[in-house]
Amino acid sequence: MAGKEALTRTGRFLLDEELGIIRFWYNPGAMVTLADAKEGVEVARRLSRGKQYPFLVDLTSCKATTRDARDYMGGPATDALWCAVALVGGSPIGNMIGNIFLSVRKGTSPSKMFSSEDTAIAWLRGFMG
Amino acid sequence: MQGPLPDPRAETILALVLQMVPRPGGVAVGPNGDALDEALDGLGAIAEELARARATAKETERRLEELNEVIVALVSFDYEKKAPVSEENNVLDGMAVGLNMLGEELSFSTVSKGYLDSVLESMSDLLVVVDPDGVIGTVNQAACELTGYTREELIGRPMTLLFSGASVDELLAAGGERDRDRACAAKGGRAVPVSFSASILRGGAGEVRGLVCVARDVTESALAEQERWRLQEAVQRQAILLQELSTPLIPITSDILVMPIIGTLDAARSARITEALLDGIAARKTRAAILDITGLREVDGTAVEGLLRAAHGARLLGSNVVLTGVSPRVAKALVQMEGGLHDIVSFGTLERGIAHAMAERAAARPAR
Repeated sequence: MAGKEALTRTGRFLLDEELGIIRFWYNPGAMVTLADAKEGVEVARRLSRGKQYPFLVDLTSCKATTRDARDYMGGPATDALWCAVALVGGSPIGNMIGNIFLSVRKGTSPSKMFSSEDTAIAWLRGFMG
Repeated sequence: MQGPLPDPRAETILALVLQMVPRPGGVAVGPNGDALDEALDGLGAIAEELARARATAKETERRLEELNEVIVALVSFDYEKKAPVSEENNVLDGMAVGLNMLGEELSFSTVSKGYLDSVLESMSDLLVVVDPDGVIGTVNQAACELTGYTREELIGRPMTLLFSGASVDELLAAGGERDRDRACAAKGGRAVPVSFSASILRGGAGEVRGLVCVARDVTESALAEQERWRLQEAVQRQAILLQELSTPLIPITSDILVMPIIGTLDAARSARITEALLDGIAARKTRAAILDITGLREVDGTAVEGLLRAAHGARLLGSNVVLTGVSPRVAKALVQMEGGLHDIVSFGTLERGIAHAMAERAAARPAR
């Protein structure tokens, strides 16, 4: 996995140049606030440099998200950043966070929940430019 | 102990114990190959596993109880209660996170009953919600205060207890009503005048679920309205009185009239003066009309025009007009007016004006 990396308070971004996607892993026990969500979106914006990428988020280690953080990340403002969003649950908490996030998300870009990274990447391939 | 066990049942017990012991790699072998030792080891392992299972079951029961409490809180519209989430990230943690997120979403998107109750109770107007049969289901504090009934005395009773003239069927058929004057029957028979509005209450599928009635006590505003009418009538009476006072006609003799003009002279008052003067002249066949303007406060173009109009009218009826109380300021204003009062006799004082009129009268009287 070669590419440009960036760290935030709650996790790690990677612009995976080989796959042509942006990936994000949450730190163990991450509790995501609105400030964290804004930081993440800003870092993703810098990494993508204006280009829309498919986005893969691994929620395995995420422990909680506040409502305003979910609202911000799932809002239409972030639609311009990614052309599709794949979420990998990977744990009971991650699955729950991912499913609820998708059910209340207001963004219009395609989004889906997966139990494994491989199937998520396979789905995202359909959106790679 | 080696060899066969004395009791065949002991063999069975041993076999069952070994069967229950979860040991990878097959049947356990004791250090001495003794069957009872094998059984003891196995029972020890079973006891440990049972203890672990009991602890897990107890912990699971405790966690489920925590989740239960959050569910009950959500059902009770309490969105603040959170389920604890452990570091294990197990299925129960997933459920706990899910319930916590559900509470957050509900608290944002749902108007809580407490909030709604606060809104209803803070209303200063009576609020009564009735079902399609007209039975009262909800009242607010203002309704109790206005009517004198307690909440318990109102709920379950027909709406006609409070609004005897209101028909639920008619209100539903009319789609409700707005700001209608009605009487609200308070406890003890007292009738409170109210402004009554009713709106149809519908369910999620659009079905009629009743009426939301709001009534505002208009007792004070009704009294204020009466007071306003009373004052308006008093003002009108005073206006008539002032009008009469502002155009007095004082007969000096049977054919000489004096009209003192006091205050200001605008177009409306000029018209009234002219009318009163001409009526008086016609009624008394007056020979001389004295317009005394000693008390005239302001003399402008309008006042002068008014005086001229009155004087010309009087002359047309055959009366001589005498103007008295002419101050230098008035004289200057009269001179400046085109078509001034060149044919009207004027004097500085009323006394001289009356003397002049009397002399004219005497001169005109035929000698005996």
